Amino acid sequence: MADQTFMLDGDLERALLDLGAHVAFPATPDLTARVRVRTAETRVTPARRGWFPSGGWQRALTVAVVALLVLFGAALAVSPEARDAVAERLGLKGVTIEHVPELPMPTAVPTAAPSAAPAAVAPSALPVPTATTPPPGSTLGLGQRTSLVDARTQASFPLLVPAELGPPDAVYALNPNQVSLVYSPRPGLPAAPQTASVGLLITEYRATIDQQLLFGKGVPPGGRVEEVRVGESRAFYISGAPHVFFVRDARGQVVDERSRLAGNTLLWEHNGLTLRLESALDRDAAIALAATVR
Amino acid sequence: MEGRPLEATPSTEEVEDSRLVELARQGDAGAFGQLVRTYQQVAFRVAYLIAGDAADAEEIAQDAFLKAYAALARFRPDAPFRPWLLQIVANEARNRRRSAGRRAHLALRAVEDQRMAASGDAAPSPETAALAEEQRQTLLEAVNGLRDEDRQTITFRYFLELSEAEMANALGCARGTVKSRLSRALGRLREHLAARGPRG
Repeated sequence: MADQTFMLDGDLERALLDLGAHVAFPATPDLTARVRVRTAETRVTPARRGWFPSGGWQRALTVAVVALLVLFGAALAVSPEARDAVAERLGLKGVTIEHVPELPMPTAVPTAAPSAAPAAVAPSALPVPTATTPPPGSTLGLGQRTSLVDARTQASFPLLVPAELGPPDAVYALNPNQVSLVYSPRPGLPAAPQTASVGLLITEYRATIDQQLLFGKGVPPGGRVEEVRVGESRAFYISGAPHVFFVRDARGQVVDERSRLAGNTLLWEHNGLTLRLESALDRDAAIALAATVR
Repeated sequence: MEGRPLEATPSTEEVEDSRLVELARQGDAGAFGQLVRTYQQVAFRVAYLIAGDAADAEEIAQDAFLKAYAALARFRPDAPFRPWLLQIVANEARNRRRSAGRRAHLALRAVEDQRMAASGDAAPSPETAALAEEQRQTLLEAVNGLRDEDRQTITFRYFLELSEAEMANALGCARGTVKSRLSRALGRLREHLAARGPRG
């Protein structure tokens, strides 16, 4: 071993440069997209108001709500490995279906937090409801109410809306990776009993690396899950008996306060987003509506 | 010596960076995105060399870019962007380093990878081509064995080819002390190599 060659400065430096070219660094992650969406938020809301009382986006990034689970039938404790395996089988980003024997019981339907008065901090293009008229979907635990305009700037992804329905009647954000659009019932959009009589609930999730929270769905034996297509995307339609909608934390534990019964639901992916459409619509109508979400 | 010069002179890259920074300050997200694309690798690697963990480094680099963006208004337009960014990265990495004992353990790329990389590169100089795999391994083990400050000084300079200003920012020292630090680190590296003694 000719270590002596390193004793000369020039040789040692050359050897180090050569070595640097042969060192295995971990692959550099592509940060451009993530930084772009976050900088968009920074520019529009430099004072960092909104969804997180303190800690701001750093916490938001690490507590990203990113995935959906579809749970058949009762054991809530499913290993992450099992989740990954099923997720792979589905091929729908952020969505997994877990086969369990029984349906877990939902907790009570959450009520809107009294402090959720984001109209004050979210200049909205929408009419602000009076105090005696809670906004549609306010009891569904969808997050803090915001406006479409603010949601667009604060979400970590380009927000999609169903083109033919126009602006939603209410918008909620749980964090930058999850935004929900709520539409009141109208002709063609019957009230859905499981979503506090709203006509349509669309939730958009951006799957990220930091999958700290997972959404779950518990589908009882009477429930049905069909594989369908929305445009070019693979999709799943859950119908029949109401199923349970819940949230998991980083340890896979269910966050009880957000559990609720859910009605007919369509899950699909579009432009890297996972979308969830809940309504009283039948399968084909839900698929047709989903196809207009752009 | 090969590599990026230690003494930085205004380069075409810096001129382009200044243009992009100015556009970003005016709200051009695409311009900042271009800076991210250009510097995410060096930012990630500086973070990795300090934090010692790829997942931490990813988060650190991302947050550093966001902090840089948020601070663009306070950034002198004529100052070079890269050293400033790397200072933010290094500060972020030091602040968040989880345990003092944690450090990136660098390894050589697989021989096959090296061959593929070499085939796409310009022909290496005869000296570098002559360095056998075993020599590289010995040298890397010696670098890995250095204490943090020396190791970072060596790897920033020779693996990432940071300039003097970038080294000062990333190491958190005065620019005037970079050369002496580098010299000391090289000296200790030689001691490590000598202590290992000739092998095989």
